[in-house]
Amino acid sequence: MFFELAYKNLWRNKRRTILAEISITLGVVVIICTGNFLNGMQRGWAMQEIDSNTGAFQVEHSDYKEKGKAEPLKTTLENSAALIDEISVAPGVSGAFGKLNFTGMVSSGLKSTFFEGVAVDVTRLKNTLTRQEDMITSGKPLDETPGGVVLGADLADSLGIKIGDPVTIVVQTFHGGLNLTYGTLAGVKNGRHFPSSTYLEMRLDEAQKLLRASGRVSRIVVGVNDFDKIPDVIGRVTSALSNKSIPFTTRAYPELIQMYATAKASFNFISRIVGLVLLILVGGGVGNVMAMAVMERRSEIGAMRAMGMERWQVKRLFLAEGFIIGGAGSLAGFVVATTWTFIMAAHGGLPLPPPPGTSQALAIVPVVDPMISAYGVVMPLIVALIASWWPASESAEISPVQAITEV
Amino acid sequence: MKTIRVLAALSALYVFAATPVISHAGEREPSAMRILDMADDHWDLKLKNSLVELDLLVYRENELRTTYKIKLKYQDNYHVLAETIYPPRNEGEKMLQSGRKNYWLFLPNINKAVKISESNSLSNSDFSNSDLLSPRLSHEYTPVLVGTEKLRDADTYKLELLAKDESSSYAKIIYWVRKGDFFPMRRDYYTFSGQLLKRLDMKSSSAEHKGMLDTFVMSSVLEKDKKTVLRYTKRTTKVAYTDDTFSPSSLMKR
Repeated sequence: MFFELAYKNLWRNKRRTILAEISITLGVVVIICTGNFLNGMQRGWAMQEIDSNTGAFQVEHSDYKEKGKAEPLKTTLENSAALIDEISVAPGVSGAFGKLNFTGMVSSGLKSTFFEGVAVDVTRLKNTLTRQEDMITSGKPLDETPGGVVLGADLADSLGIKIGDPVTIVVQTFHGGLNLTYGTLAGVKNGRHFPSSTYLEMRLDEAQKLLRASGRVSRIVVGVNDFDKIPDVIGRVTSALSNKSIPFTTRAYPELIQMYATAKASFNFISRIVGLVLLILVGGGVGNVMAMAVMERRSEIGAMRAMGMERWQVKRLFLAEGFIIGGAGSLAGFVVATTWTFIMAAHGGLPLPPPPGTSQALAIVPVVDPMISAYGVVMPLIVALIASWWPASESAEISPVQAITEV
Repeated sequence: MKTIRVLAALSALYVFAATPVISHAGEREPSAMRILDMADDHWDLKLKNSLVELDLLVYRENELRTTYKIKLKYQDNYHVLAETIYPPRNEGEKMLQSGRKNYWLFLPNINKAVKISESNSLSNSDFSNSDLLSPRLSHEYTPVLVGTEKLRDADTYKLELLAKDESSSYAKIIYWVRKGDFFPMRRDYYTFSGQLLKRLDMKSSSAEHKGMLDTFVMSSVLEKDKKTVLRYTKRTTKVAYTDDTFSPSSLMKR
C-alpha cells in the first residue's frame, strides 16, 4: 500500500520527479561506465602485456625471484624441455616456452657495454606470445637463422650499430668460466616499461651452448586460452608439477607486469573518487526532491496525521518515495550503462594510438565489472534512502493542528 | 668404459706435462709444470707478504681514458686486498680475495660488501679480478709444453694451459715464458668456445724493480684500440698482515 501511495505521490510533480530520475540515472551511468571503462583499460593492458611479454603466468625456480637478478644462472630449472612439454599439454594452456636470463658484455668492435640478456625458444614463443613482434621497431624478430641477436633500441644506439652489423657477446658460463660468441643484429625492440638500454635477446639453444647450461631455463612462460580462467590453469599446472621434486613456484601476470599493482591501485582510486563525487550529487538531488515534497505537502501530512496516521507510517511513506526514485534511477542507469558497454565492446572499443617510441596500439574495450555494477546500483539507492531520511523524519514530527492551519 | 678412456687420457696428459722434453739441441727441457711454476713464482713469490702500489691506465680508442691508483696488500695467492686510492670518486673501493674463488667488492658510498665473480672486470679495465689477484695458474690449469718460439727477440717456451674444470675463467691459456730465467712474457686467454678473448704482455720496465715483472698490458679483442696498462710503482716487502685484513667482515666501516 505504501509503495502504491508513494508512487502516485511522485507523479504529482512529474517535472521534478523526472529531473530527479534523470540526475540519478546519469550518475549511475557515469559510475558504471567509468568503472567498466577502467576495468576494460586495465584488462586490455594486462592482456597486451601477457600476449607480448609476460605470458599469463610463469613457472620458475623457487629462488628465482629473490636471487635471480644477482645469480641468474644459479636459479634455473633443469630438464626444461620435458617440463615445457608437460605444461604445454595441460588443459587451458595455449603454449609455453623457456626463457633463460643471463648477463654479459656485448661489443660492436668499437664499443662494448653491459647487457641483461634473455634467451628464448623462438618457435614455441611464437605460439605463446602472439603480439611479440609488436615490440620490434626495426629489423625482424628472432627466427631460425643462427646467430641472430635482437637488442633494445637504446642499447643498439649506444653501440652505434644497425641491422646486419656484427656483435660479439661475452658471458660468464654456468660453471664460472668466460665464453664468447659472434652474432648479427637482426632486430631492435622497444616498448612501454621496456629495458631498452640493456636488453639483448638471442635463441635459447645458442645461449644454452654459450653459457654451457644445457637444458636449463630461468622461467617457463605460459600462455592460456581464456584470460578469465588463468587461476584454474595455474592450479592445474601446479598440481601436475608438484609430483616431481622440482624447486619451482608460479607467478601470475599481476606480479609479472611492471607497475601493474600501482596502475590497478590508481584505477581503483579514480573509480572511487568519481563514484564519491557522483554519489554526493545523487544524494543531494534526491534529498532536495524529498525536502521539497515535504515542504509542499505539510498540510497534507497534517491531514493524514489528523486522520490517525502514525508518525512511523508518515516516515515510511516518504522513505518509500525515496526508495522508488533511487531504485528506478539506479535500475535505468544500470541498463543504459550495461547496454553502452556491450555496444562499445561490439564495435572494438576505443582505439588509442601507440605511445611515443613504441609500435603498440591499444584499444580500450569496456568490460562489465560486476562489482562496479553492483556498487553503481546499490550505492545510489542507499544514498537516496539516506537523503530521504531527514525530510521523512521532519514530516513525521509535524503537528497535525499546526500543519492544517498553515496557509 | 668411457670413464676409463677419460682417466687414461688424463693420465697421459699428466705424464706428458710432467715429463721433461728433449730440445732440438739435445738439451733436456724442464717439464711444462716446472716452467709454469717458475713463471708463476716471478709474479706470485715476489709479491708475497708485500704492499704494492700500482697504476691502472685504461685506454679506449688509443686514448688514455682513466687512471686508477691502487694499493695492493698481497699476502699469498689466495689472500689479496686491492684498495683504490685514486680517482677521488672511486677512493675507498676495495676488492678482496679471501680464499680460492671467494671475491668481494666493497663500495664505500653504501658501506656494503658484495660477492663478485673472479671473471668480473677490475675497475672497468680489461683485467678481470682473477687476472690481477690470482697470478698462480698452476692451481687452475694443466700445462703442456707445445714448443719453443721467439718472442720480442727472446727464446721462449710456449705452454698450452688447459683449465682443470669449467669453473676457471678461461678454457685455455697460451703462455710464453722466457728461457733461462722463466720470465713470463705473454699470455693469450681463450674462451670455452675456443676464441681468443684477450692478450696480456708482461715486461720489466723500471730500473728500480730490475728484472722484476712490473708492467702488464692487457689488450682485448672485443674492441679495437682498447687496452689497459698495469704498472707497479712502489713495492714494500716483508709486510706482516693479520688474518683480519683479508676478512670480508673487515671491509665495512665500523
